[in-house]
Amino acid sequence: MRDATTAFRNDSTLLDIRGVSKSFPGVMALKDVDLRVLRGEIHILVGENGAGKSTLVRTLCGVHSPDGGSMTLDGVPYRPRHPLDAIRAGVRVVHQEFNLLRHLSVGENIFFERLPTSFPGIVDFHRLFEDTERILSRLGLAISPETPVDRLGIAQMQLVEIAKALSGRSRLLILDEPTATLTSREIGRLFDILRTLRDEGVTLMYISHRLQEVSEIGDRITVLRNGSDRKSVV
Amino acid sequence: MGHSGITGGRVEHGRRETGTVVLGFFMREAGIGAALLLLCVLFAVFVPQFATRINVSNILTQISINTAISVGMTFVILLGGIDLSVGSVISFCSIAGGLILAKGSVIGTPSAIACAVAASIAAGLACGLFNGWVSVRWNIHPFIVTLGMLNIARGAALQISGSRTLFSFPAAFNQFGSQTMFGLPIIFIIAAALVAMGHIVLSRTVFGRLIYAIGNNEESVRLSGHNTRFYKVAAFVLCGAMVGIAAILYMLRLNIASPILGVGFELNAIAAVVIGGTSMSGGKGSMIGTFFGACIMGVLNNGLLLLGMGDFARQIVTGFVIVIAVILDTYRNKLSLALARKPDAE
Repeated sequence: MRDATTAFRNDSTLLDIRGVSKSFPGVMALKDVDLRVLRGEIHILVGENGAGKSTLVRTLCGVHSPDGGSMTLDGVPYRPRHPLDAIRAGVRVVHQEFNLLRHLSVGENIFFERLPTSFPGIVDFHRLFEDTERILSRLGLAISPETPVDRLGIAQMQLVEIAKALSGRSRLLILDEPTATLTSREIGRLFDILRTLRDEGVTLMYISHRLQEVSEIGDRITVLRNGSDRKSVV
Repeated sequence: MGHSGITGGRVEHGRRETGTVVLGFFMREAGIGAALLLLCVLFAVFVPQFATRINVSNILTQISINTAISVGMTFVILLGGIDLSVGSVISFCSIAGGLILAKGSVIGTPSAIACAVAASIAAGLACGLFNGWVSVRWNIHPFIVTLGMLNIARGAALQISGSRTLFSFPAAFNQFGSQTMFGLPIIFIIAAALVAMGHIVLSRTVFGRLIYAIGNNEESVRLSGHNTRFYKVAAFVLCGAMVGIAAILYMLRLNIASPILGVGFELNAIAAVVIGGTSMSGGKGSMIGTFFGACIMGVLNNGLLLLGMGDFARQIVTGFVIVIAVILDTYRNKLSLALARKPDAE
């Protein structure tokens, strides 16, 4: 690790995970994991299947509570007990399996946590689709906000998930193996978009088991092996 | 760099997607509407009495009660639920209202009518609240809970009425039921108003959109901070209220209330919803589709009767129509998805 980064730790660290452990009956899924995500970087988390990546993600998004260790977000203790706590804290996960509402429009999917209203209880579709258009163009996604999600391809659905995460106040965007189902052309496009987001100041954590992706997209990398971190490489 | 390519594709993309949305509409509601139109044209050509003023008015009267119940059923099925109790609940509601109406000479006509309407709707609301609350509170499938309610409401109706049919309602009430407005039967206008309101609620309000959202992916809606339990209970309560109104329509039409009416109504309502293109697993469908579905069932029943077909044969045909409608729906989905995705393949 470079000493320069250590010096700026206090103001440049967004997420600080220290000594986090989590065990399930018979399995030590996470063992004393340290991980630091800096503001405005693309942080890669790699590891083989079963190395504890998914457990770490679930811990971050409030599905599991850690057995030990501490997490701070923006210097404030971060202990999500429920996925809602994580969302409220601005930690958003784009999962491998999509949580989209297949028969609703792209716009409704992105904003359904808080649909814009004109009169109380009446959806303001005009504003909804306008806001959606803005987010979609930020992602370079050329689809109509009114399109039902089940008419999209996998890559487009993924971008809608990202758009959904960006619609709220998200401080940390976690992508869980986003390239698993994409073609190489789509991966290239996704990387362009992620770099653009990074340059706009969004902090990204990118989970992968493909090492060749690391150098292409990552600023820093943490390797998980058998439930504990081995190295953070700058 | 790579972005120019993406942006360059936008115009042609945009045009295709708009086309897809329009196509989607034609594949859904308009497709069912076209089927209804075709059916009407066929009957009009081959059955001379079909397209007469009196017969059309008859059909509209006949479909009103099923339409009102189906409006409520649509909410429940869109959520991924089902309500098997509506046929019993309508008789329970009619008894609750009918007992008051039959006392019209004692308590005065206007207040008897007002109280009867309120009692009928309240009885429906209470049954719906029970269905929704029990299934949510103990996480029991609505199929089971409403099966219980099917017996509870029927038994209550028989018990309260002493298994008698109630009649001799106030004359003003009975006359109102046979009136027409703009040449349309009044009870059909009430049912159509329920359809219109249901359509607006489903397509325009946060409540309606969340009904769809929960039907699509309940877990995802719950995890984003919405109280899914509230919406589930509300859908059943709404369905109960619609059944209460349907009970009033029934009394307006036939001027009786009976503890044995409504047997099998739940199946007619579910059929109308399904023919109308709403998915039994929830999340997809529309109120307009349900209305067309109820119309198709009414028109078919009426047309075949005029053709001289007997009760049993008509029942067979109706059964086949339900099955065929669902089969066509799967093809319609595949076709529209294929059309929408084709340009992506490249």
